[in-house]
Amino acid sequence: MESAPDSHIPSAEHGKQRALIDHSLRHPVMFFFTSGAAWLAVSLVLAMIATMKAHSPDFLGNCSALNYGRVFPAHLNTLIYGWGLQAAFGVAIWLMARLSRQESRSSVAILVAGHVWNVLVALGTICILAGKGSGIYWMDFPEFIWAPMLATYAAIAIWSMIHFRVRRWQHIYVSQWFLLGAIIWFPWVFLAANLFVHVFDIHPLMVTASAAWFRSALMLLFFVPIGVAAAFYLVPKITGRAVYNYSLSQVAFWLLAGLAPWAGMQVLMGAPIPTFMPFTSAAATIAVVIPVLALTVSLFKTLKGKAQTVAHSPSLRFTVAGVIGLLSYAIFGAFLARPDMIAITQFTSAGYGLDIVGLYGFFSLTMFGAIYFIVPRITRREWISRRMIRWHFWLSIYGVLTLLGCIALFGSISQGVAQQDWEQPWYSAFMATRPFLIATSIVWGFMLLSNVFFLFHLTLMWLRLGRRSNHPTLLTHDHSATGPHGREGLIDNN
Amino acid sequence: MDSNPRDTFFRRFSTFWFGLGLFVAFGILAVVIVPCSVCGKVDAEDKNAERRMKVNQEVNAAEEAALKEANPTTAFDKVGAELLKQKPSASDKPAAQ
Repeated sequence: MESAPDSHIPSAEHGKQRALIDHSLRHPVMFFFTSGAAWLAVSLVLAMIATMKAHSPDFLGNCSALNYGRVFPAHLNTLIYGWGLQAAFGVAIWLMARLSRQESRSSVAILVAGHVWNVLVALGTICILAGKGSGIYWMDFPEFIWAPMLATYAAIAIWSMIHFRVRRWQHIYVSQWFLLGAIIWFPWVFLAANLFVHVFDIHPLMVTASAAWFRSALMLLFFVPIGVAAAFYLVPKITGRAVYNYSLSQVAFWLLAGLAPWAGMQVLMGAPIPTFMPFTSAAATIAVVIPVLALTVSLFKTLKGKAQTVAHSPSLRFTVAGVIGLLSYAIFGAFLARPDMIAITQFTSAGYGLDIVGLYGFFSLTMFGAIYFIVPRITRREWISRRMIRWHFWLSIYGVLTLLGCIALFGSISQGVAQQDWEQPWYSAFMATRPFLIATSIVWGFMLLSNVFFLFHLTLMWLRLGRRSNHPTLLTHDHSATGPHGREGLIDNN
Repeated sequence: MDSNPRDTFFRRFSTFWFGLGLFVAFGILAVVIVPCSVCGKVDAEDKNAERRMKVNQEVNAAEEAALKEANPTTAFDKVGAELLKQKPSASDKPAAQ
């Protein structure tokens, strides 16, 4: 491994390099973040409608486009492809460019591809609401969408591979390991699943197994690496410390790469598929806790003694909450993968709850942390309102914890136990779940509110209406005469 | 920015095509391997269906052959004439109650 790169270059030159990189990527990155945040708001509206329909089917009348069977998949797919993938694109292309010290020469291509991606997601969502969805969980867009989506992905991600290849020095940062992994794994996972589900003429049970595998693989081999890459960039950067243990993080990367592709089919326990498939997946899902634990230890050891920094920095607050969400996702996933738990929770909302813990409790929170760090650097403005950031943070945390309790834990177990009572009609199982569904509807409303704050705040930054200051917006309670943000001045790029 | 010896046109060009190739590599492999793995595959349901169809065809052929030997429309007249020639005979009386 070469010694610290660019140590001979003065820090002013470093700042200039970073400014040039940020300037080259400002349009595509801001586009991905803003359109992603808009899709997140759409997804949360659809989530609220879906949950309301589950306990009050007459809500919003009898419009077929708003039936549960259409609104729920529309919510999930906009969350994944509209918000999740776009936030990942924005963070990944910026991170890789910064870590490789490469200006982007393809911003126009990325921006055009981003617009095409949004058109495809919009088209797919309209098709789902019109009843033309495929009906496959996490792959509900109609058949004709996946191929253009893959081509669009290639047009966005290939430039980051080039940046990595022509990076300034041999050393590979931990974040770059995970980013490169995610960039290569996504097309494999997406292409494999869509070929086996939509193209090849295979047994219908194998189609179901492929779809179950896709859901887990997309989470563990794309969203998790992107979120972890962001965390391994932000934590050392903001605390000013090196990563606690580079080798531990490398080992965790290879463990994740080896174990994650085996997971996913435990949801088909008891289905007429070869027995080794769900049991192997259950074992892999439980084993994934090991690399996640290693990554969490590495990050928290890097953060040791920096509690005040975490409390004051919006980026670090969201990132730390996201890392805790990742650990919760892995442990809860392992808990649900046990055959005795699957017997109770297989046909309940537990799986959906786990998806939300992963997509929102981990991935979205880490993306928020990254966005709060990146946007001031590419817009050269600081966030305007500490209060909006606090509202966004606390409503998100309360929302995720309540969803974890209502959908993932108590709601699903109470539903599962009631369903097991064969002497009672199924209606009694529904009534056991109803209070949790009502609570979930309220929680989606609060999370929607938090994200409206976020979208509004982000839009103001996109319009360059942020503060012109070299003091970052921190979540302190400073009431001095000059205010908490210090004097006005030009922002620097650190 | 200062010069970067790793950043050459050839590296960028080769990485672009290598990356695209890597993205579709599994798809190409799957398209090649999956059809080859399913060709020659024997489906038990299809095999049973073939056997059942063979039996069905044999039965149909035997029935058609039997029908050709005797035309039903001419048989009715013949059977009717035979019946008319026969004298009525007493049938067994039911047992006394």
